[in-house]
Amino acid sequence: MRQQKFLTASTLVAVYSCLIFCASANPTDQKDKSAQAQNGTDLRKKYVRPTDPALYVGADTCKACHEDTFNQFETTPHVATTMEGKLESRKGPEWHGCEACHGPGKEHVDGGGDKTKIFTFRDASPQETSARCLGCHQYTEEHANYERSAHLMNGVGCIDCHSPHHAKEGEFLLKAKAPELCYGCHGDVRAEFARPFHHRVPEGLLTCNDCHSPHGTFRPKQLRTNAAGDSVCYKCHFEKQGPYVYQHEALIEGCTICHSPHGSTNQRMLVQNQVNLLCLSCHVFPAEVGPPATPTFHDQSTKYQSCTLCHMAIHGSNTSVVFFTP
Amino acid sequence: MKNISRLFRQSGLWEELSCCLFAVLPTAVFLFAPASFAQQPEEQKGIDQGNYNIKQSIEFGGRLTSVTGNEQTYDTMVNLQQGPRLLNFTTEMRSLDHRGTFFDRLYFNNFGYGGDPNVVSLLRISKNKWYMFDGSFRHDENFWDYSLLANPYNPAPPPANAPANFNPIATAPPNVLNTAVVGTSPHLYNTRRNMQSYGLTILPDSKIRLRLGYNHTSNNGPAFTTDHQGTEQYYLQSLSNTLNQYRLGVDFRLLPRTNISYDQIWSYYKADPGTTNENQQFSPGVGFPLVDLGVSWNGPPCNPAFQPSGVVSANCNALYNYSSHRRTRLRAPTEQVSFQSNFIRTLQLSGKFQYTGSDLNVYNYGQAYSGFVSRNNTSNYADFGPVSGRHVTTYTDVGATWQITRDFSLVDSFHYGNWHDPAQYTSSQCSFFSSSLVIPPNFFTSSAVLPVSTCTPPANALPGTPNHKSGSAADILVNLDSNFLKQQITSNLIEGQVQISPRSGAYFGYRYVHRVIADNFFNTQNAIYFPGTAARGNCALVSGVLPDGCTQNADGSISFVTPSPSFGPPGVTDIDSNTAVLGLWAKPTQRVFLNFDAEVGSANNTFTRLSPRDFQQVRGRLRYQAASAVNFSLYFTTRLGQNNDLTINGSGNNTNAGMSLSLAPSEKISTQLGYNYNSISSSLLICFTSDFAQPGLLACPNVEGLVQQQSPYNSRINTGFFDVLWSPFPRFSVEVGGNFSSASGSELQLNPLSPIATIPTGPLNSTWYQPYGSIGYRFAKHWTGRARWDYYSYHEDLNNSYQDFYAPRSFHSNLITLSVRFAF
Repeated sequence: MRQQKFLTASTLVAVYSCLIFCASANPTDQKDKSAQAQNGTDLRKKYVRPTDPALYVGADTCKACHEDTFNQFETTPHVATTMEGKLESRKGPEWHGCEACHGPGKEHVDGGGDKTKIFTFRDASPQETSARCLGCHQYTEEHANYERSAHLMNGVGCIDCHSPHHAKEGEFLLKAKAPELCYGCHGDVRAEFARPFHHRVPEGLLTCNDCHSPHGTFRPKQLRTNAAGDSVCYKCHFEKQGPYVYQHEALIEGCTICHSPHGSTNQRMLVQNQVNLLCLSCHVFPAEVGPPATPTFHDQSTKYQSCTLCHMAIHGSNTSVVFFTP
Repeated sequence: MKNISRLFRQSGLWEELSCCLFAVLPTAVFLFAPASFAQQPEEQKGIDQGNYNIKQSIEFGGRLTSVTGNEQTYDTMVNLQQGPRLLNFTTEMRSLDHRGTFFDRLYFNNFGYGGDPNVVSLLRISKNKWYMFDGSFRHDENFWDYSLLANPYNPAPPPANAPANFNPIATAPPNVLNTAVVGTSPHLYNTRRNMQSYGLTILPDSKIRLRLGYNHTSNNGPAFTTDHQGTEQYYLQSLSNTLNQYRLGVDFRLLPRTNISYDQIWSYYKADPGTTNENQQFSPGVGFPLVDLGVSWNGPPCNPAFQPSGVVSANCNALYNYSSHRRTRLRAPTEQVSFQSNFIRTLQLSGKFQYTGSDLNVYNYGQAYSGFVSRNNTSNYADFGPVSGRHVTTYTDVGATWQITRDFSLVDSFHYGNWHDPAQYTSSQCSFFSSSLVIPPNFFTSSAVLPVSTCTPPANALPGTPNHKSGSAADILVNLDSNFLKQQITSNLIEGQVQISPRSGAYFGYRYVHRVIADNFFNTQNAIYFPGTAARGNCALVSGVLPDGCTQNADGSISFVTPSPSFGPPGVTDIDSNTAVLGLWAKPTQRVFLNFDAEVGSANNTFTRLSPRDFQQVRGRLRYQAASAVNFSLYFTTRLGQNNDLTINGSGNNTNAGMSLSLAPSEKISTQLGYNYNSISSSLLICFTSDFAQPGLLACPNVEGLVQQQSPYNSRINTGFFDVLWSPFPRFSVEVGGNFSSASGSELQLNPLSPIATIPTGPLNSTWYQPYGSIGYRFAKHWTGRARWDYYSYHEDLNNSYQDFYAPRSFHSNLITLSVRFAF
């Protein structure tokens, strides 16, 4: 109860602090707003690419001043946008080269390189910057949920992980290698993977991306699913899924009811170090609905403290109602 | 390979070689390095050849390993063994004019070949507009022998009159010989999981896009297990599980800003395990084969287990042999329709509908054993029959983002899921009975109609009246169990998203989840009970009368057919939960990023006692880039859960907080460090029985013989890491670092009055240290020599249990990796 009160109080304090913090960020934004108002753009508006060719100058013009950036850009897959024959479904200057992302550059050029006359990702909101990327990248299953993803909802935009011009990883233009990139925010998960029993992410066998989609999914925690839409765990641990004649119904709550998925100090990544204490958490009272109680002959000072010694098919069985055989 | 590696470790060669190599490698590197070798520019710019820029690197070398302590635990946690290795091989090719003949980009990466437990190959090839190909092969050697898994925690003294070098497991480590302690995990395994995935997208940028995919995952290898047949026999399984998955998908982008996809996925799972008993090591007498007395002597298989001559007592639970086999097949076709549209510019929609109807069949299932089970006099048992089932799933997901004003959007995520698993097993069971391990069973020739005619008497069986006990199973039984389990879940999360400024935003919302979980069970039996004690089991006399369904036969046997079999009333659990969600983020400057989110919810019911009815979560993160080379982050998470049901009295709390700092003041030095504190505490009411329980405990309601006690669990884990990379001059680099984890905690002791702790606390109080250091020296153009040292130390605080005394799980290991890298 005391913890709850503390939690409620700390939540209120944190919310209040954040609101003050956000409000204090506004003066700068007001300056941004006035600058944008001057050049007739608003960074928070849904971006629609202008189609008038007269507004565009072409990538070669950009290169004249931004040669270093362009040279680097030429080594990335995005350079395909400068090549007419490479674009199958997106025709027109608004989809070409630098201006496909930064918008029409004529005013910027005519203004002698006036930074306020062109879209710069640096000053824009994550929603706005991401909308620019999604203009091309949205139409795949991988990116279809990004606008609703926990990442974007919490202010993490595309360029927080990807760097179109200064990527340290050539693959997917990432700012850093995975999983270190993910650990930049999810330090708690890094600590979980450093425990003695863990999924083989630090070893490089698995990546965060195997279970979670950084671009969002339909499921909580940006979790992926297996092909049938069931829990992502069954992608690899397919032999645990069943269906079984005799199901361990606790699995309905998901694997995480017994296991810590990233890592644990406990064997088999269990949420408790002694198996019997975990089993006894549910197998307590007889009930019409629910798990059977522990039998009275299961003396916890003898072998019965090791539940899976006998109930070895603990995820489910086709031949034994008490999971003695698979 | 693992055995050779262990022999090498134990021979002392490691010490000699590692000393020599430590001395020789750096010397050689310096000696052979050209003195006039100029400072190199950045190492990997690649070479231009033809129309491609090619970057390539290969790193090969070898590992030397030294382990002291429990090698099984080392292999379970680390499993890096000695030998030559391909540590990395990477090739990247990029078309210079992006008009390559066969591809524009290629990426090929490999590591771990030569014997590492984890081997990975990745291949990506693409030719813009024409195709994209992704392929991966991953191999995981999964060795498991952590001795506290499925361990019966036997007392140390061997049973009286036990043979010399008594050991419950024939192949157990020698350090626990002549004790009853089981020094390995009875569920030891050494399996290999291979995961292959291939995907091809044809015409990725066109209005109609075709996708093909194939996945192959297998999990094979030996695994030991136990089975309760009177005692806990020790079996060797040969696991063989395979999943093949084929995918065909088409994307249609015919409407503006809209993609509609159709996917057909076909999954085929097969498992062909075989199980045998290979632990027969004790003699029940001259002329009899050896028997397996099982791994559990904490409650021995019989008393006394051995006669003064060392011969197994004839009334022991023991097995002469065991075998089982099956062929499991699951065919699962999935159809999926998904869409994503921004056709109306202020409304972003995405959705997915999936339907899977999978069929399970287990063919050729059979298990058979011979031995003796004293509680029911079973000497021979066979069980066989078909298993069939279905897994039918329907999932519908729809998400929408409606930008109502320029600063406010409404976000909705709807999920509907429905799966149901009907499955049934028609089991034919044949039982033969004897009065002891050394007396052959009797078989009875009945003139009655038998439920199944394929029960063949054992070769040594004699005609006569079987030796039943009142608890003996039917002599012949056909048992049909049909189970049905389903869950339907409907959830909707609606959130209002506010763009306070380009640098700050917030969202608030409400999640509603409705779950219905239902199960149902059907059973029917057709059995015959032979004399001598025919009136037993389902046909035990009630007030001197046979129950319904039982028919007395002329030969003295009793037939039983379940009267009026029907499904019982379904068990239904209905759960509604309501959750409020809130989030805030701000980037007040380019260098600061702050986010905070919270959830508060409650449910009117739970499915398991471990699930909370009320739950709260608060998370916060701060990232601060003090300078271009200084990054700092701070985070915390608190999750609380309560279930105030009087029979549960449950609560849980998980608090996680930490920080990390990275500094790169110059190109010559960079460092990272971090710390994490994790506290887990939970408590709920449990019922149990123990001869050594704390006195004065209240009786468990509704269960005679059990007592109730609150079960608290507390675990605090401190984790720290650091890494320093120093390159004093361009050709030379040094790296030192480590991960350090320490766990301490407490939990309910079920047997406080026991003079010897029967169960070790194991990893609850443990440390796990992984410091490392490496040096690298570029001794020639493109060539770098590396020497790396890794130290793994796992230590558990031991208590006074026999398991801790005879089979502690701690280890220390040094791992030296010497390698040469060639890169251009």
